[in-house]
Amino acid sequence: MSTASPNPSTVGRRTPADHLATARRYAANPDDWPLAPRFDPLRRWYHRLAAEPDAEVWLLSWLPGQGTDLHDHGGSAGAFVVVSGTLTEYTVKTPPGSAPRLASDSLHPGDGRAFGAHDIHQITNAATQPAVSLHVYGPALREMTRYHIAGGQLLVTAVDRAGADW
Amino acid sequence: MTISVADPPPRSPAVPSRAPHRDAYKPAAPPAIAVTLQVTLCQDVPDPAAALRELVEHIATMTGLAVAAPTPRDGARPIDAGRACADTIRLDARSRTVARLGAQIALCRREFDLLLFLAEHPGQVFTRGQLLNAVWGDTFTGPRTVDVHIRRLRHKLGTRRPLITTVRGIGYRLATAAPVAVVRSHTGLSHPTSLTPVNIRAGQPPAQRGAA
Repeated sequence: MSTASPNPSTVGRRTPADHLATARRYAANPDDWPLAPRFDPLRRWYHRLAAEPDAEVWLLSWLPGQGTDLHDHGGSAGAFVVVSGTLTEYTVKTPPGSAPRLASDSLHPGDGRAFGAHDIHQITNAATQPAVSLHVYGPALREMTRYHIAGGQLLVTAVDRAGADW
Repeated sequence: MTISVADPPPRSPAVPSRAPHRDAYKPAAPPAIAVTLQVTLCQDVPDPAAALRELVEHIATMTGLAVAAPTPRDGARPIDAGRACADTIRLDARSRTVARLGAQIALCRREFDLLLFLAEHPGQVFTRGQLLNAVWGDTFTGPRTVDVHIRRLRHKLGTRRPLITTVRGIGYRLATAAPVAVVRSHTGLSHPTSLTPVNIRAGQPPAQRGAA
């Protein structure tokens, strides 16, 4: 019988892998969502499904062409899972001695990504069908910094804050 | 300081499509720019609205623009000014000293140079290689040296919010709201470099904002 006790330093702080497991659990049970995803051609649609003590769960929809800027999560870690459609995730790569550049990856239903507190990425629906994805942030998303690449430099575009910008 | 620039309100078409409308001969409304300013006041100001008016008039004089008196919008309110000021870290570029709450913080030469470089380039993310070039200026130092100095700086400066933000896979930047002021002149006048990132929203597709 296992008597392993949890490591005190990790109690109450979930890892990106834990967030991915949470995202998969919610993504697998759409009947438990309090509402069905909607699509808004004017503005990306998103809705908070649940607030747990150390994480929030959000449902997002993406019409073809809709996407985010390159952004961080203000120090929150998290994960997301594609529920339907295809999403393209861009991450920044900096080969030694070279300028930062974007590398892309296609994510299909069931594909998921976990991200750490210092990761930045960009998500776009570059496909022709609408997409739905489920996102978990821990702790809750309070602030996002948006970036852009110009002249070989990664620059801050703006800072968005919960309550004011979403 | 955060500056938001909103789209100017739409202007009525200058050329009437058929018969001249009765408004056609009225002078066109001057173009308007809506600017939201977040100004951190580091001392008690008896009349913030008057101070703001003075500030805008001063800017208008400097730029040669004719502006109408600014009117504070509903909802404009002071934001946590006390905290922001109390935590301000002042870098004196001439004497190469750093102080917070009036107390000197002892930094070694490279730590100071690194902090000054980041403070001079707010909103810019630097790779370790770029920081090595800019601060160390040689190729004999390894990129881990940057990590070590960043860690020491964070420890010595120890504000409630991290002053230097890690961007994984890239490097480091000064935190967006980092209260760092660089002092350059004899008179001690400072310009708060870190309070920059200009929050320009004009022309941005709203689809790009929001949780993600």
